[in-house]
Amino acid sequence: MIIQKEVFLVFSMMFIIIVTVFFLVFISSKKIGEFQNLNRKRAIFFFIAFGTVLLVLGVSLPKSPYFLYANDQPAQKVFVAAKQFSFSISKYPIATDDDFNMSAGAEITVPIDEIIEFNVSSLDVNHGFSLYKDGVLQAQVQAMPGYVNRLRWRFSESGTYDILCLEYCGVAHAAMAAKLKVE
Amino acid sequence: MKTFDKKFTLLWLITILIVFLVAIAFGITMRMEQAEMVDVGPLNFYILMTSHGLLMAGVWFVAGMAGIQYILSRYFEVPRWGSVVAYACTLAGVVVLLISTFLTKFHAGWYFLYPLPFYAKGADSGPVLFLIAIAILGAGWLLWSLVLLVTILRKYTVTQALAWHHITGRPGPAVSPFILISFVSLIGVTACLLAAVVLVILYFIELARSGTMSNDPLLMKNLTFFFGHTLVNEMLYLGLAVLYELFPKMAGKPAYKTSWYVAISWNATLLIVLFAYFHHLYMDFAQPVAFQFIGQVMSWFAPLPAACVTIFSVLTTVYRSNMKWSLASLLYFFGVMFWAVGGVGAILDAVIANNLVLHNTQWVPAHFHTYNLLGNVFFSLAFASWFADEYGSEKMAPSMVKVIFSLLVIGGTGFVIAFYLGGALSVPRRVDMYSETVDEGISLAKMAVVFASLYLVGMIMYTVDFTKRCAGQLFS
Ligand code: HEM
Ligand SMILES: [Cu+2]
Ligand SMILES: [Cu+2]
Repeated sequence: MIIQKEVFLVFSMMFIIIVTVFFLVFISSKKIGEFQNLNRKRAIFFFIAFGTVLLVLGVSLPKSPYFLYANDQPAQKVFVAAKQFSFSISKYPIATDDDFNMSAGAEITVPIDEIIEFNVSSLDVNHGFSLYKDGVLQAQVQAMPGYVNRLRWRFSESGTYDILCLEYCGVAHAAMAAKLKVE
Repeated sequence: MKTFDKKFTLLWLITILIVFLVAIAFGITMRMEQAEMVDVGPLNFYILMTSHGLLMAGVWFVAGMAGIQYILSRYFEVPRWGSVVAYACTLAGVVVLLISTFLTKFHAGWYFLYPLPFYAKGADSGPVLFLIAIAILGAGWLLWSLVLLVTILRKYTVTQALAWHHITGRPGPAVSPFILISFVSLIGVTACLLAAVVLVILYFIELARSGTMSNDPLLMKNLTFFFGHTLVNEMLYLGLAVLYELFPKMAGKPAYKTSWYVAISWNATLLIVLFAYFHHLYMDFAQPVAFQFIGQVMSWFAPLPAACVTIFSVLTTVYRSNMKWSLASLLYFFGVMFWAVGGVGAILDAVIANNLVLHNTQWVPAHFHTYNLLGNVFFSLAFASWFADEYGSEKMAPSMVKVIFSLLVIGGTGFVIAFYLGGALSVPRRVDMYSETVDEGISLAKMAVVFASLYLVGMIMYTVDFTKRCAGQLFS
């Protein structure tokens, strides 16, 4: 299942649980009584919550995208530069406006099932580099001036991917897009 | 109760409600543009977005501060000039802000991520005016927060105000949760406003040396989010401090006491909040991985003290309390519920592996609108309702309570659900129109317009009712 759907499911479950608990307590407020064993229940609640947090951290931190294929050799390096309001994508580094213009608008194709290293930067403001397949966001990284962000990714599906700018970068932000072919 | 404190609090509340209505109208206009129901164009969309974000963050921050100022003045003499100067600065700052956005067309977003202000600037004077607005607001609020901190420190030492003696069991004056939480939050507020001051100074240096010097974008981004995230986080805690003071009485229970776990929980929170902002930079792979991990660990530790102390206490206070519900207590209770819901949305996004596909999607406005629109705003409206019930000419009619509360809850919930769905469907945030790739955004925007309008109707009714009941006090 795609991550977004999983997250939405977990969120919906927690939403229902929280609303149910509050609603039940709200209904109970019509009665008179006391909450029994307050401190013991609070302690139990704390240890369950604490354990859950440690578990989630232990499982999820190693899955951070910084470590994706970190020990492998990328099959291909792709250089991405962003500039208001377009992307330039090339197999060679893009450092200047001239480099940018040379590869601007060029369509690039990368191989399927291989490790691709995207070297993403910007020539003006912060932009975002994101990969969409059929309207579903697969991965992203920021494009920051003066820095190169490296994202390693392996495409398991061929076809055309949409690249959208995902960091607000000015008036034409919504229209800033490009395409990438995977074969 | 001193009449000046009452009147000035009233002035704050009425001002806040009016600005809130305007800012909601901006928000609905943005959603209508995204729904293709109106056509204001991208520039006006981003002008509205910049104004909306900063007005909202500002107005609910000062609402929290006004609550603290008022409750604190029930404990001991609080200097009034801090609040008065802050009020003047807030008005002046808002005017300059709106000039910079609507007249000079500055549109770099409310947290003006470097170096965008030099590009999305509108007229050349745009960024200068905007930065002046930030400087006025920052300075006024920093002063106010320092005045309140000093007021607390006149009565208690630092370790007492942090309630350490309630942890160690050493003798010392009883420190109420209100004092403890206010103190902790005000330290956080001071820290993030100082960051804002540094940020603005760095901008002005770059402006002054036009073209010959530039700042480091990664450093500026860290400063920006240390300021922005922490401010928005702390303003919620300001509302909670007042809740700790007022809520138990509404439920007919004895006042909350500072037990060892309340003390530990808020001391932990003080630290945790300052490091959570790193989660805004997860997708900057150039940031050291250690910071990224600190960001996720702190973001996940933050809910522990909140859930185990505040939420647990509020639930057990209401449980079989046989309490009489008023709009104030309803808003407090369900405000805590939505705060918890928004918190779940937040920590799911704060998992780095999830952030890879949620960052800068509508999941972000989804969770922060949940705990602002339905959490923090509810806390401040609860304080205002309590205030009006206490000092207004009459109590709110029960039918009115039902109508207003339902409109706010239904309108607010539908509005944020449209954002959550957008996030789950990869719809980006901060775009004025949806390209083919993400055109689900259009129907979700329509849905949001409907629900947000319900919320707006509820808020108009609330504001009219509040003003009717209290305006007389202002001139008495
Ligand atoms: C019914 C009331 C509200 C409506 C209709 C509304 C609407 C919106 C919309 C449409 C956006 C832009 C979303 C996007 O990125 O595409 C937005 C952003 C935002 N809203 Fe609201 N909002 C409301 C209440 C609030 C409240 C209560 C707060 C805070 C206390 C708030 C704070 C913000 C902030 C900080 C932003 C981000 C602005 C930026 O990206 O620069 N909003 N809101
Ligand atoms: Cu861009
Ligand atoms: Cu952009």
